[in-house]
Amino acid sequence: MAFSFRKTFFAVCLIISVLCLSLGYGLSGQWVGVVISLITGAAWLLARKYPNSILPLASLAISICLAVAGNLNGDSAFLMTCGSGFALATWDLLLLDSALGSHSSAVQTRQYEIKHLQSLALALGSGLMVIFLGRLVRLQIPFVVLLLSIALVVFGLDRIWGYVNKTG
Amino acid sequence: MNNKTLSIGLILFSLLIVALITRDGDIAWMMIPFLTYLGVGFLQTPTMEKLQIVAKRTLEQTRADGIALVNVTLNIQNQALETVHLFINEPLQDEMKIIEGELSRWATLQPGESTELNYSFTATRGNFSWSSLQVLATDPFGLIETRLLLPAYATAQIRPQIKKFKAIPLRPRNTVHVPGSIPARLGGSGTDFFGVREYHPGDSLRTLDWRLTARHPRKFFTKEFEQEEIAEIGLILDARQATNLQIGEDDLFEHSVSATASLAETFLHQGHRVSLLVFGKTMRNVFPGYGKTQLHRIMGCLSKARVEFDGRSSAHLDFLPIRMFPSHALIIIISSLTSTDRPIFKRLRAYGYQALLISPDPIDFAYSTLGQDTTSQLAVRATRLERRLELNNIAQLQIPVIDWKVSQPLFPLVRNALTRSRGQREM
Repeated sequence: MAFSFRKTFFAVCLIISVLCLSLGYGLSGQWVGVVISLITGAAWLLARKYPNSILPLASLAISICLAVAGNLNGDSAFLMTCGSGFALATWDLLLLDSALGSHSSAVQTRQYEIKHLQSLALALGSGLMVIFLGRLVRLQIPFVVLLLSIALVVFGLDRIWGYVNKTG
Repeated sequence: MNNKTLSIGLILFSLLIVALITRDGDIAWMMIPFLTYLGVGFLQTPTMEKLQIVAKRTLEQTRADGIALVNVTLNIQNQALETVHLFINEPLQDEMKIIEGELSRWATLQPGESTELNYSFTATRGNFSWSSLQVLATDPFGLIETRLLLPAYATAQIRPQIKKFKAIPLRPRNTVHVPGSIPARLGGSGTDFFGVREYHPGDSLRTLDWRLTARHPRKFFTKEFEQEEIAEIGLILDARQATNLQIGEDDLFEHSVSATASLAETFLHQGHRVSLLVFGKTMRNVFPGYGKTQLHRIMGCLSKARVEFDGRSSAHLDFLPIRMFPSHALIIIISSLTSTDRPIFKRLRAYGYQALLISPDPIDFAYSTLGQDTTSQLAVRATRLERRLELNNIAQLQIPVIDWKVSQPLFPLVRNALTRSRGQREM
C-alpha cells in the first residue's frame, strides 16, 4: 500500500542514519558519540509527534552536526556523509507524512506520494553515488579546468536564482 | 521560496563555511546530497507559463430535520501538457461547520487528469460565496511554490428555518386596495353580502336587488358585496445584543429569526404585502413587496442578520425608523425587550399603526441553566415580575402582546392575538 510507503521509508532512513552515525563513532571507540546518535534517533521519533514544531529541523541540524563532528574527529567520512544524507531523507519524509496526514486516500494524492518518494530516492541515490565515485576516482584537474568549472557553477547558480525568482 | 528551501540553503551555507574554515574536503562532500536534493526539486518545478489549470465548483444544498447541509464539489483539471504537483487548499469561512470531507489535498495530475475535492458543511444561517480557489503548484519536494488563484465562483444561502404555519385569519384595521383575502369593510365586488344602495348608472344588472326594487316603484337598488383586500404588514426584528441571550450553542436570536421567517412566509403566501426591518448595529431592511421574490429578499436579509454589539445610544428601540412602513401597516415587533423600550410602542400608537409584540421569553429560555437555590429562585421571580409589568404596560396601549416561551409553538399564539386584535377598531 502506498499509504504505508512513506512511513516504512521514514523508519528505514531513520535507522540507516542513526546506524551510520553510531557505527562511525563506534568504530573509533567514541561511545559518547554513539550515545548522542542514539538519542538523536529518539529525538526524530519525538519530532514525528510534533511535526509542525522546530523539532524536525533541530533533529536534522543535530544529525548534521554529529556528522561534521565525526568527520573532524577523523571517523569514517563515508559513514558520516551517509548519516547526514539519510537524516535529510528522514526530515523530508517526516514533513511529507505531516503534510499528507490522513488524507491520502485519493488516487492523485497517492501519485504525489509515489512521485515524491521516487524523486527523493533519485536525489539521495545520485548524491551518494557522486560521493562514492568522487571518493573512489581521484582526478588531477588542471587549474584552467577548475576555473571553468567554478565559473560554470556560478553561472548555473545565477540561472537557478533567476528561475526561483520567476516561478516563486 | 519557503521555509524548507531556506532551511536547506542555510545548512548548505553552514557546511560550506565549516569546510572552508577547517579545509576539510570530506565536509564539502557532505554537501552533495543536499545539492542533489535541491537540484532534483528545482528541475521539476513547473514554469508559470506552462501551467494551465482549471477549477470548477458545484454546490448542492439539502435540508434534513431542519439542518441545512451544503455539499461542495471542487473539480480541478490539469489542461497543460506537463504533469503538475498541486496543493489545493480551500479556506474555511466564518460560521461554516465541516460535517465531512477534506478541505485540502496534495495531488499529482497527469496531463488532462482531474481531481475532485468534496466536503459538506452546515451553518445556522448565512450567505457564503467563493470567487476563486487557491492552489499551489510545486515540485515534488515542495521547495518552490507558485501560488495560483483559479476562478471558481459560487454562492450559497442558508436560510433560517421556517416552521410552516396555517393561514392566519387577519383582521387589520386598514387594508391595501388590492384584491386579496381580507374582508375590507368596503362595498364593492366580493362574495359576502355587504349592503344595498341606490342604483348608479353603470352598475351591472346582475347586482340589482330585484325584491327591493319591486317594493319601490321608479327606483332601482343595487346589492353591494364586501371587498376583499390584502394587508400591509411590517416585521421588525430586534437584533440588539442587549436583548439576545446565548446558552451553549442555542441562541435566543435564532428563535426570533426563525419566527420572523415563518411569519413572513405565511403572510406572503396569503398574498399580503410584507416589509422587514432588522434593527441592530447594522440596520437592514426590505421595502414592502409581494410574492416569491419578496420572500427571497426577506430570506436573504434574514440570512445576513447578526447580533452585533453596539454601545451607541441609538441602539434604543426608540430610534426605530418606523416611518419606513406605510401608515396603515400592521407592525409586528419580535423582540425580547429591554426596560427602556416602552416609548416606541407609544409612538406606534400615536402614529396610528396597529401593532403586535412577540416577545421571546429570555427567563424561560435560560431557566434550565439557573440555580435552584432560594436566592436564584427569588431572582427569577423578581425578573419575571419585572417582565410581566413591562408587557402589561405595553398591553395597556391596546397592543396585543405574545409572551412567547420559545419551546412552545408560535402559530396558535399569533392566530389568537391577531384574531383578537380586531377589537382595536372600536378604540
